Amino acid sequence: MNPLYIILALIGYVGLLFLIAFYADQRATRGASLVRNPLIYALSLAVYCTVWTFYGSVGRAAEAGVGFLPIYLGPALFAPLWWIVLRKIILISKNQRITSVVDFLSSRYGKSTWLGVLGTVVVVVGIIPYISIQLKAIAFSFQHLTHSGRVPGPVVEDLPFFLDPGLYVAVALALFSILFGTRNLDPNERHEGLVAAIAFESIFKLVAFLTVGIFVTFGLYKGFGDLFQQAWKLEEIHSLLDLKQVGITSMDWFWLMLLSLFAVLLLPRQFHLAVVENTSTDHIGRAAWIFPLYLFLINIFVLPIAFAGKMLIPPALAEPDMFMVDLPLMNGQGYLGLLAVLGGFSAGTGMVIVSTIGLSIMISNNVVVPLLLRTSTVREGWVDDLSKRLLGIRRLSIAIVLLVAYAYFKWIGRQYTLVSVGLISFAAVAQFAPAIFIGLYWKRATRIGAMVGLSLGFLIWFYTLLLPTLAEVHFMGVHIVENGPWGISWLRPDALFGLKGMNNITHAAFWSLLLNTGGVVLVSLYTSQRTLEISQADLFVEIYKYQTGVSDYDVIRRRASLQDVTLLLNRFLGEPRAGSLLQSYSRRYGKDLSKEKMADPDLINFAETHLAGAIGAASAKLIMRSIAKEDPISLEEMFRILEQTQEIIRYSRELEHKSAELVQTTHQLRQANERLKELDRLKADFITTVTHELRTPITSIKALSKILQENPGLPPEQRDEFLGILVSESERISRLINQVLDLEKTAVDRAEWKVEPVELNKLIQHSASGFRQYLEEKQIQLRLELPDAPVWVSGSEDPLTQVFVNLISNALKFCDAGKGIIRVGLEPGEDRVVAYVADNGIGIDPKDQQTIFGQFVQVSNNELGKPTGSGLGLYISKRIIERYGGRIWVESEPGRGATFFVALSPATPG
Amino acid sequence: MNNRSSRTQNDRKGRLISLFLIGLLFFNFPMLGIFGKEDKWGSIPGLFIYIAVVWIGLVLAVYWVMRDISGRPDKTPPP
Repeated sequence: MNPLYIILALIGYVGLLFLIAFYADQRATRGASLVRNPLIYALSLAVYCTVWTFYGSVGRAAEAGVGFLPIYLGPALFAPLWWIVLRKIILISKNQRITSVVDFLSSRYGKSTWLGVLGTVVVVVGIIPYISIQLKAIAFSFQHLTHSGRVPGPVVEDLPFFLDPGLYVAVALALFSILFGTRNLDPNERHEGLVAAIAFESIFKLVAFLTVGIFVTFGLYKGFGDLFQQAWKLEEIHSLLDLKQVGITSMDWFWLMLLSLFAVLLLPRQFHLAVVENTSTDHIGRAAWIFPLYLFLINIFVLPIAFAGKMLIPPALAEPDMFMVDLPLMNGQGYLGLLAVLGGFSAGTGMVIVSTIGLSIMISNNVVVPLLLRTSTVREGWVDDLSKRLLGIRRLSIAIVLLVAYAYFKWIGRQYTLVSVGLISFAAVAQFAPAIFIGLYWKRATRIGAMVGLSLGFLIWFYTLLLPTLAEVHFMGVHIVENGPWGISWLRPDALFGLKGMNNITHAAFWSLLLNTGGVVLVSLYTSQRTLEISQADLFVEIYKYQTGVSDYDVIRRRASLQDVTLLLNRFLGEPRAGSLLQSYSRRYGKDLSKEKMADPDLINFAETHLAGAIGAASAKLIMRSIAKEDPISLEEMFRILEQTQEIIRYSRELEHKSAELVQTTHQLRQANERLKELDRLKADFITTVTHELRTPITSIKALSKILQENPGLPPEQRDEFLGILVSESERISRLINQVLDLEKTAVDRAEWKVEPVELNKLIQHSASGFRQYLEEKQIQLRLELPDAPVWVSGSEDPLTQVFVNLISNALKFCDAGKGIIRVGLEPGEDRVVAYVADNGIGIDPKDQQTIFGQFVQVSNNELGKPTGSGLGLYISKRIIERYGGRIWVESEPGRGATFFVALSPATPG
Repeated sequence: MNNRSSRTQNDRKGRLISLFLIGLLFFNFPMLGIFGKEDKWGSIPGLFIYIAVVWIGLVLAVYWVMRDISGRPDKTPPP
């Protein structure tokens, strides 16, 4: 294909990118953002798919079948967890205005400068080879296109640099990155143009890949079935589908998945787009399934293309990494080949642009600025506005990174496949995983632990992965790799401590991550944290708490003059931005800053956070320290906090106590209410019964009187009978009324009851004497069994008399006329006096013996017929005896009489 | 945050973690080793079909769990 077309196409493509980025930036300034939606967010994350995916997957598949897949399965698997892990990282980063993955690390561990420097070194050393392979693949693909699949001309790396397309690509990318990636000092201010361009590139590379894939599968073959059918016939391809034969062990598979799982968040470009450029955590919700879907789509044609390449391209010409371009070209599809090259170009440029921007932010914020701040001359020579100079540093860093990457590609990177170099970078950034993920959930992880872990991991990575690549390009002797340093075989970089039987990536990942994690955990357990570390650790681990409110008190209080703070913000952020920040601060907290002389701790924190957004957490801390006096928390302050806490505890205890009391009172009230209800019911029952008892005799009186009135000529004997009934019924009424009155008497307050010594034998004699006439009538014997000496009990005469009258009349009722014998007696004792009234009547059924003392209980009996009496006598007696602290009970066997006992306390006569 | 929404939040987290673990199981050995080179469905390699099905299943499951997270384009610029 004519190189001119290719150059025009490339220029056209780059022009389009610039246009899109420019348009999106314009939209952003107008407030009508193009990129603030979950689809664009998910697409921007697809910057994960670089030339490694576009060309390298096919190359790897041609050698190892599905061996290319773990790199995509890891991120696809991790995506469901983003809602938990990535969301937390974003919330922290927005709160602290984190600018990069290294800044995140440094901020978590007390805004440590040295951790930032170390992290930046790891990233830069780890990522530059990765950037260089993008340049290499792009240059390589142009060459393939210009030679149209014929035997390639001179290798790109051997061209003089001014003829090398790689150089021009690098320059164009540097320009783009500088233009659209360094617009604002604070990356959190967002580069919408950049994000829009990356999302566009993600769509473009996917479309290009799918187009080539469809062409190969459905154009060159009749679909998947046909293609695989033909591939089965070649034993060489057939064996690629056996994981054992291509040499993939379960260990290799697992570790590659793990590395890529870390990489999809920790690679500088991924962190930049997923965290720093994120506009809403809700976008994760959709990205969590759109991103794995994207990965699925871009991988579906990898195996078919690889197999087709192996079948259709003669082995002498076959360069599996370039099957994507060569397959269309060899089949006369020049424009499709161009599309493939542009797709690869888009995959490579996306990665390079975002990576260089990310690296430039780290280099300027975590290395250059802190080092400048540490040299006093710069601090004293601060000119008016440093913000422009800071952006300058970043732009310079971009240019240097790309230049170094280009140089690496020219001198070292030539003989490595895309995948092998990419994996080395993955292993490098995976070294951040222990310190970051452990630090996200474990407060006790210390700065020193993180330093030790990261250093150990990086050293192992360098020794086992990077050193062998340097040896192969003769930077150093090959013998070290083959025999180990000084011939010590267990130090061989590819079989450290004698561990063999894994591929080099698995081997390196295992040792570096093991020692790294062990370092972070174990060293943390034996080191302590400084104040700032503790407060940062708390903020990171408990970010959800800080989302809803501010912390209860400051661990560190700082003072500075307002003038210094303003000056500082002006210098680093530029006057207009500093002014608007201070205005928004005074609006939000309702403070008039023009009247203040000293900046309060809140304002200092606010200023530091915004400075951190521009120059990194560690640098912001250093700068603030130069103007602010740190009052380590004073003893009084500590006491005040303790007092506050104690007061709160005491208050809550009181509340608990009060509420317990309330519960108790409620319980008592409820009980009282129950009792009242019960009494009310009893009273109602009582009235019903009494009126019923009264009505019966009154009815018969009324009826008989009426008969007498209406029949004056009634025979005298009948009239006498009626009059007799009238008298007895009237007596019954008066008896009932008397008893009700007695009952009422027992109900009055105990205080009105006199308690005095009563001579009981005399009282019983007196009670019994009233029945003499009645006994004679019925011919019932009454025997008194009383001692001669007087027996004194405490009580009072009238009520006790009533008790014995009741008991004796009760006994009389149940005795048969003529045969009845009633014994009334007394047994004096030391601590109680027991009197008894025994009869030889019908007796009381055991089931009735308890109930007969109740109100209106009348034992009915078939032999006896209708009971006589009110049913109140025993009830009243019981009430009276209990009033005097005594007891009344009955013993009886049916048919053999009943004995009522009354026990009272003895008294001495007064 | 009221009880109900914190409960659905925790449910969601549990579901997502379970999806991750299930994916981890199905995308690793020994499950992958079930399909050798001789297994094919029609003429398409069994391993190829297996991975594609699990992958799409995972995408659908995550979609289902996250379907009510609006993620609509937010019009308001962040503070």
